[in-house]
Amino acid sequence: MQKLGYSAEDFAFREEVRTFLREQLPPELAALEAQHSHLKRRDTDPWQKLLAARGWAVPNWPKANGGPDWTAVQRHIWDVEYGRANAPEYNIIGVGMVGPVIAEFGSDAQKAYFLQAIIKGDLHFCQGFSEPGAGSDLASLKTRALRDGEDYVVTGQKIWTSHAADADMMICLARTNMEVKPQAGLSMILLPMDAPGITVRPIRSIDGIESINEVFLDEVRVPASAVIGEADMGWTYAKFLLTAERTHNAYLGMLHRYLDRLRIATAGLGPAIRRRLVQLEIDVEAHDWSVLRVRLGEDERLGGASASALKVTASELLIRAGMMEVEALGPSALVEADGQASALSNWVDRGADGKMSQLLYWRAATIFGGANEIQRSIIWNTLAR
Amino acid sequence: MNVMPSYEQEEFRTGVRRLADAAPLEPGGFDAARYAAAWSRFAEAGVAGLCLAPVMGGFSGAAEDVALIAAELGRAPGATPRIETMVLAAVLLSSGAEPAIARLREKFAAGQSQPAVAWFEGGDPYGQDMPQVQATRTDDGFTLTGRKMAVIGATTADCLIVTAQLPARGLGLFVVDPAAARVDMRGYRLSDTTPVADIVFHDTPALTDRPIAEGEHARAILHKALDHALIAQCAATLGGMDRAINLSIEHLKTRQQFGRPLADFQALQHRVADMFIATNDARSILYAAIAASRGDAVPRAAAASRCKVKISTSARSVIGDALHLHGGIGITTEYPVGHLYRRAMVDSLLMGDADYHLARLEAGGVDWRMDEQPAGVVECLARA
Repeated sequence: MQKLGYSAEDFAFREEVRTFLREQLPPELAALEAQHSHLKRRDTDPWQKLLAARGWAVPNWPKANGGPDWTAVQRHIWDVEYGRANAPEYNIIGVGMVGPVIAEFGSDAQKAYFLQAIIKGDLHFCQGFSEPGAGSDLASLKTRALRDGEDYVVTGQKIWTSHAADADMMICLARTNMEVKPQAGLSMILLPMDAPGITVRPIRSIDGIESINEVFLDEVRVPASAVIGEADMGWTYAKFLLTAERTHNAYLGMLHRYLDRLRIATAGLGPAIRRRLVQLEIDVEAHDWSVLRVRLGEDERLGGASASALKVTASELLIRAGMMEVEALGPSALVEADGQASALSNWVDRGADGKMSQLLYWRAATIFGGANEIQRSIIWNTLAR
Repeated sequence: MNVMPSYEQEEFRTGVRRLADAAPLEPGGFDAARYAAAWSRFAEAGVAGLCLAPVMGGFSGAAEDVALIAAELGRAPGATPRIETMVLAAVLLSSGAEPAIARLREKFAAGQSQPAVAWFEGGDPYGQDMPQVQATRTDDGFTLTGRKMAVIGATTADCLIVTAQLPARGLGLFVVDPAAARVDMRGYRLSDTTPVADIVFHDTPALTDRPIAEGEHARAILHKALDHALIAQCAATLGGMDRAINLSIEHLKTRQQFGRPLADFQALQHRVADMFIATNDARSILYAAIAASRGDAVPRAAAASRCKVKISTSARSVIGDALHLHGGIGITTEYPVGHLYRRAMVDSLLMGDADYHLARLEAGGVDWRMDEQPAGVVECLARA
């Protein structure tokens, strides 16, 4: 019978993880991450090397591909402890998407080259899926990759591309076949970001930070070997990613990080906000176990429904936690996160720096990763089947 | 990897569900006799024995087994007894070493006994460890004097498990024969038609010449019994939530308005999706409580309270939404969803409502920081 929860070995593993993070994570990096969580690769690369040396750079990967081959519970522990330690996200598109899809569908040459490069942090990726005319409706994307001899020539426009200016390559979803129905003619293509024809325009979002971008693709020429797996199979691969990484948008680490901060921020405050914190803790605990249940493969019959539920819950909890934090911090939270005010004004609590910015960033969580209404429709379609 | 109940669990659950489905929905709900018959039906099918540990003559007592079956009973309100009474009785009877108590346990495990647990006197549900009912020592044992409230199934019970204050203070657990002289009962029903009674004891003799448990031990047993009963109650509520979702989907697919099935309307689809999301997380908090139920009293109590907060709140909204989606028939007693809602409302208030349990979590002494609590291992309960 399947068991759920932590065993004695799991608690020992948690201690191992905590010790590693305590001893190896540079405090200045953790402080930076706690402040705004959109770190540049120059900040995170040395850390990723440390993780790679420990064998923990790609927590979601199986042993055969160079991952630690963790159990569902171990991964769960890792996510929570990693977030709580203010360890930074790094190369999330490479580790979370490019690696798994190449491991499953890529050519031998692609596997040999990319998997190790991702583990070592030598290659950073950005995700080129969304377009101005294709947000939730991904199948309607218009970027085209036309075959020209041994090459593909890619033309179009991508948007909301996180860290495009910091990436070596884009995993780009482009239309390679115009003759078939919209879902069938897509391919996943790797584009080097320094290729001629690529222009990155940063977008300043309401958090005051330029982490997202528009990327213009003007006759970008890549060899046919840049297509992951087979041409015209992009939709299948994208769907594989959704099932392989069903807990990707569960944000366990971030939620636990918020809880830690809220316990401090609400200490000494009135009963109303402290009661809301208890309620939030209960809801995060439930979410925790929901994630674990999906990772253990429970309810596979309703798998799509459960994973979609995680995304909706996580995004709503993140926003709720962020709201509580700025309320707990009081007037300090009003100040723009540019480091100026906290240096000048003695009424600004340094702990508040960047917290409103984070809330403003996470407000997008109901939109990205499949808008929550897309998730609700997936849930209905799964249940009503 | 599949997280599924074991073969034995599945077999047993299927049997209980068949029994629950076979019971007709009575628009009038329970009267005391009908409730007693329902108790017998399920107790004889093994539900009572399930609540009792093997060393006590039962065949499980494990919180996840109880929860799995509780969910089945909760799917069919108006046809099934309240499992929290069985859990309370099982835990309290397990504390007694006297031969008379062992015989009671044996009868209970076989489904041949209907104990009622007289533990509540009004007010704070977890403050009942200092009861007003007074135990007095006599030449051949104890007599009890005082009042108990809303004792579930009391008028048809064949034994009463009663909490009382001992002469030298401290809590005592006693068993009383309801047929004994000097037990006055006034029966009435809760809003979901669960039959209950207020009981007045006047120098009523206890069955055994000593309490079945006393002092700190009795207090610990009572709290353990309440926590386990609360978790079972939550599991029953969760069963009602699952059922409410299934009924709603069926209804939306069948009911035609504006020339098409209601299921075509995205506003309604998304409402069902939200019901699923809430129920999914409610199931998760139940797992957390079951895992903690194996552990020490403090984390166990905190987990039971968190479970009640989450499940009672989400049940009101999920089953309330189901009622709404059914339109007019949702509020009739001729259709199951209204019974589910009524039952969920009563569940949400019995043994402390969400505000009560939030206050309990906030109060000193209960560590509500779940992150450092060792969550035990829980065998799985998959969705029906």
